[in-house]
Amino acid sequence: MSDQQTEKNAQSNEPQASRLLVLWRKIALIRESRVGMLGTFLVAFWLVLSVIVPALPLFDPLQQYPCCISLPIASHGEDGGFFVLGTDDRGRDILARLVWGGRLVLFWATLSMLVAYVVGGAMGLVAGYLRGWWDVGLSFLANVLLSFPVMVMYLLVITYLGGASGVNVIFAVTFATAPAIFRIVRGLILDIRARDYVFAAQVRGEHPLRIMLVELLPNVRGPLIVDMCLRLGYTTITIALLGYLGIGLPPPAPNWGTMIADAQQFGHLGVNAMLWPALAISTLVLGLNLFADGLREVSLRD
Amino acid sequence: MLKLFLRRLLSIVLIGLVISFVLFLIFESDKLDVAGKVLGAYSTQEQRLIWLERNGYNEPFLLRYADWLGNFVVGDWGKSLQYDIPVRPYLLAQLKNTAILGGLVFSLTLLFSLVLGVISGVFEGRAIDRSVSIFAVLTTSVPEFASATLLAAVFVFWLGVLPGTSTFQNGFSWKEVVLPVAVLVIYNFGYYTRMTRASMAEVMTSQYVRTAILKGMRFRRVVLNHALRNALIAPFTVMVLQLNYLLSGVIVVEVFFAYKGFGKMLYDAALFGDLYILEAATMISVAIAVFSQFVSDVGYALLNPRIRFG
Amino acid sequence: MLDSQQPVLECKNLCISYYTRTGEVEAVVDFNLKVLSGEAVGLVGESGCGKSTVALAIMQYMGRNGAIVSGEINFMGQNLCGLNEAELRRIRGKDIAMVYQEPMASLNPSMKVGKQLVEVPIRHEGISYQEAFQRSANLLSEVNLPDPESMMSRFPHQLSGGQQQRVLIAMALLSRPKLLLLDEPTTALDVTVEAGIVDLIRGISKKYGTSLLYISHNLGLILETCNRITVMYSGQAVEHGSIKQVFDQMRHPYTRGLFASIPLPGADRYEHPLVPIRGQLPLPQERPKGCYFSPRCDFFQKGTCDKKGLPMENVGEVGHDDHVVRCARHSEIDWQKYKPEGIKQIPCEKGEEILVVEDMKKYYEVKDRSLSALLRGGGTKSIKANDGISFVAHEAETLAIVGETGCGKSTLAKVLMGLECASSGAIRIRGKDIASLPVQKRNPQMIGMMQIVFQNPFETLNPSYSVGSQVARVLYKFGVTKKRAETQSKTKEMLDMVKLPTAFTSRKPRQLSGGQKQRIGIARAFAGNTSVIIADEPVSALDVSVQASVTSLLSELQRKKRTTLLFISHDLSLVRYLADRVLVMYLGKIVESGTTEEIFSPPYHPYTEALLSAVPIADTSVKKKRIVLKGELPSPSAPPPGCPFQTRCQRKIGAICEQEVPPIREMSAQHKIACHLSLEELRSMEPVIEFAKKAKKVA
Repeated sequence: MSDQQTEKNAQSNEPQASRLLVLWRKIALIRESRVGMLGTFLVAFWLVLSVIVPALPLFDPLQQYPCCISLPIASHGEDGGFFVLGTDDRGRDILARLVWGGRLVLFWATLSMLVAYVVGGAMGLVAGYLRGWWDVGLSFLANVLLSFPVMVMYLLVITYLGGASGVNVIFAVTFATAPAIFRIVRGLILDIRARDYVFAAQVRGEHPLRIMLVELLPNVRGPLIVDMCLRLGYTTITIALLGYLGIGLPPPAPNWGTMIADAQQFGHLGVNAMLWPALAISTLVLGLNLFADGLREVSLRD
Repeated sequence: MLKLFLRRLLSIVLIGLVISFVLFLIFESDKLDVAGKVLGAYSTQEQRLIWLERNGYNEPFLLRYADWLGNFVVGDWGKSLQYDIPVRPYLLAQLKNTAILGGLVFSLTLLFSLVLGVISGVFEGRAIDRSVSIFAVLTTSVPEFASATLLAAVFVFWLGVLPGTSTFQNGFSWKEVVLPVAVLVIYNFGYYTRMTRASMAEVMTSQYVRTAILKGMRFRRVVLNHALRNALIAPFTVMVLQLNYLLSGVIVVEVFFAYKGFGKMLYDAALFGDLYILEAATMISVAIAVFSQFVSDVGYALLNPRIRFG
Repeated sequence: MLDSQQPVLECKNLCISYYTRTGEVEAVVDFNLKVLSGEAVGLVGESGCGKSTVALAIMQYMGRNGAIVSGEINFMGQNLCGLNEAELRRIRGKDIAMVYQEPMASLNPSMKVGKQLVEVPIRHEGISYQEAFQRSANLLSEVNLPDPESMMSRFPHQLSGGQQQRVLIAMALLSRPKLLLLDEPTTALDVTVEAGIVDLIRGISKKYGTSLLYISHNLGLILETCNRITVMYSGQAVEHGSIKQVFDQMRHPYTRGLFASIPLPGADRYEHPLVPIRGQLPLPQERPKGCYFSPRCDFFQKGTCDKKGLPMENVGEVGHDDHVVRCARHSEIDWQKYKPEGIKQIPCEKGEEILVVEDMKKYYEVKDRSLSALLRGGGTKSIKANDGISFVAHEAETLAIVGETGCGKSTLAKVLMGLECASSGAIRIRGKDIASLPVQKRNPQMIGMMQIVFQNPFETLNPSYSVGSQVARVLYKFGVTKKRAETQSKTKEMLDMVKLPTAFTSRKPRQLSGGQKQRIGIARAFAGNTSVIIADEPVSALDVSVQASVTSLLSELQRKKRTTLLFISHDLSLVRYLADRVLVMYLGKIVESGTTEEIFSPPYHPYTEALLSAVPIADTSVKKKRIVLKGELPSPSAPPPGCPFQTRCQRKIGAICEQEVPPIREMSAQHKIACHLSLEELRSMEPVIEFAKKAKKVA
């Protein structure tokens, strides 16, 4: 498409890299917000751990040591292994499961959040810009989906689709959160669709698709980025929660929710194995919430 | 106003119908599957076909739907496959326990979040606002099953003052309700506090509040008479609207504490494939959600004169 | 002026700052002002000059980040800055009251008007509810609101903007304040509504003995309402004196520039060209040393004007010791000799017919969702946004379309641009009918033929992209340029054309001032091979001193390129200055059309007459006939039968106006008036605006 090529050239006089740089500078403004920095630190902690975990000298998270069941913090196993956070009811190293579990949860949470965003965002863009029957139909669909309590939706979608699996989790998250994203995007678009620069694009005969993607979408990115951070937090909770309820990512892969559910069956013997994943998810979600707060605070200053 | 009321009513009836149809489609479009669930996995194909014929499953799909919907409306919800008892009395008993839990959680959340949110919004930027905000963001970051874990660790396993399960084996017990309520209030109030705060803070910087202050009104009067009503419209309606999120939380907490309620029942039914309980329970939960939407819409219109006298 | 008389308000060496993340911003610097009892003082200046800050400081309402750094605000001899909250509460609303710029936002949306009114006297005087109610009702009828009791039982949104402002004025007057602050009270209102409010304000001092501080950007309004005036520029008062002194013998170069950049209706545009002030307002952090106006001043002298701390100096006329000015060279400048070069306009011969609109109608079908309509089974109302519009526009001609909110001028623009399709009638551009051709079905060349300049500079450019890329997109889209290098050079050429530095290509819109954005908007409109430009209130959102240069640029380009300009505006002064011909619209219909000379001199359509009378004119030698329209603008969904203007007309004949659509009286080949008045009656009308003497203002 040479057509598009020229368009692109006409649109951006700055090279692509410098635009990324501008975005980075904006995000870097978060230094000025104290809560934002704390959030950044927490998120970065889990992000970095998740990325480098294969290179860390940890136990195999799936390996069971029948000799070392439900050990407390900082225990030595019989064969000389050292379990920093102890072991769970099957003698698996909690630290290894925690870090690998974080990687798993973060990966699936990000993926499902993005899928839900693409679906909900596209719906919201179309309904908000085109209005008319598109809006009526899509809004009705969103209202129908929003009428399901989220948990009921998860239960229905996952049992209907045939049980726990990563793909089904993505479906469930999309069904449950895309309508909410739809509402946000639609509202933002409705707010700016009557701006003069949109009229200007219309009166020079731009295609509606181009108006939606090029003229409108970039102007709502600020609130959407903030919402994405918050929503990544909710989605993380969801992924862990589904694991806890036994309808999420299938075991034995380590997953914070499954870890809690497994340990819970053993009463006070499982308290140690239960606390760590609970703390882990809380710190990650807190980090995302604070990061989003910081971003909002910084962006409001402009 | 009446017009708006009727329009909303029409809209929720429509949504309710669509949802019930979708649910019926999900649950009962595969007839053989239904028969399999009812008769058990080891029933023969022949038995299943006979059962279908006998129970009117060979009628046209739409007719079956109408029949099913009619039965639901009049309260004929079938028999539980798991317990072999009629669904209705069983479900209603569970629902009662959940209503106690939900009612407590809703009123406490409402109380805490409106009071804290208003105070923090009025004194935006001051120390009290910052403490409330930090507290709120902390608690919203701890999901139900995590805070349940933490609270159980402290109150059940360490201090031993509260029971770790809420099965009501010896009848209903308030002691068994404390932890589930606490968990849900802690997780929910932060979000609404933040929303109330934002709304209040925005109203406090509005021009009509400035007008009221420059009329020489006392600050307390400005807040109570001029700001409060406008500031509470949004959080209140959203809170009612999101009753279904509360219901979701209830399911999680009931599963965690084995609370003998609607949520645990729904969860068990979903996992077991207890078709008729699941059908009735989803219909009930959707009805609650749709009804709360209706209340929220009408409440919004009642609170907001711009719509009431549009 | 008696020295013994204690002023109601006195600001002494007032300095106000805001504290932001980036540091202290000095909003008001060394400000002095005296308001005597029963007197009206005007405070005039452009946006950001600190005039509203002064008003809020008097009220001691600075927000959390604002503070009075030094100086005093004395009210009846008492320094307000030292008072605590309880003491302030006793003064606010009782002794000092305020009326605000946006009436809608200033009233509590969820409280009935009556309740908002009665709480003032109940709070301050402790009178009973009945008494307070009675007093409020009386005052509402004194501010000319019909049926006060029913008004009081309504919510603010059920009132029109003009009614809301009257309510706020009544609220301010309820406790008989000694001082009333009016912060741009008519800026958000239509001209004819504004005229009514101004009329009301003018009577306040006399009737209630209240002193007024009237804050406005509009010199004409100050002239109509005030005794004395203070001109502010960038946080400082630069000139102060009686109306006569400042309007007729202004001494500060900024005041002079301000007057020279306002078009006056009645002034011949070829004889008295507008003189824009170059440059733009400095940001508070970037103010120059010495005189803040120096970078824009023609009389700047190194060593004199850049000394710190310029004082306010007496102008030194005998017997006029209260005319002061903050200019180091005020006594040296020879104003007689000073003849700044304005933007010369040369009359331009119009060419062939470009745009023809014939009996164009645009009706919107609106579903009537009321219960009774549903029961009746019917249910569509039509809003006649444009009802039979016909006109012709020629090459190189400027055709102004004048009217107030709701008259259908914006709908007309949308239909012409193809954003909406006409319900019936024809629109021909260069002979091709486009009435039912939406913009998606027009080919790029046709689209490029007609372009638009928008009203709001803050919305006209997409904030996400650089200025250059947005101009380049138009060039590419209309096929003006094909290659990238060519596009880039052409973009720079366009920026040059609207007199902006070519370095602006890589800037984002938020780095530009309002006037600069509007220039980009103009460049964008002229980028294609445009034959018709629609300008929808292109300068109404800009500051006065910037307005002149943007207007001139638009008009200059139009003449140079022989483009047809449809200039949509409510500002008759500007129309007089720019247009060759004028259409006056009311409720979707054209009520009068003719050449500019014909529109601005009798005979008039009664609506045009009222509009002209409502225009505030900043010239002391002008005498205006005062016509204040009664009633409210009818809703376009339920237009009155017969003549659309009959509900408010000051020259209504009788039943015929209510029953029959008025005939079109042809006063000349061009001049048409839709009115029931006979030709004789129309011809016997007197001019609305008259110059007392033809004598030119002497400095």
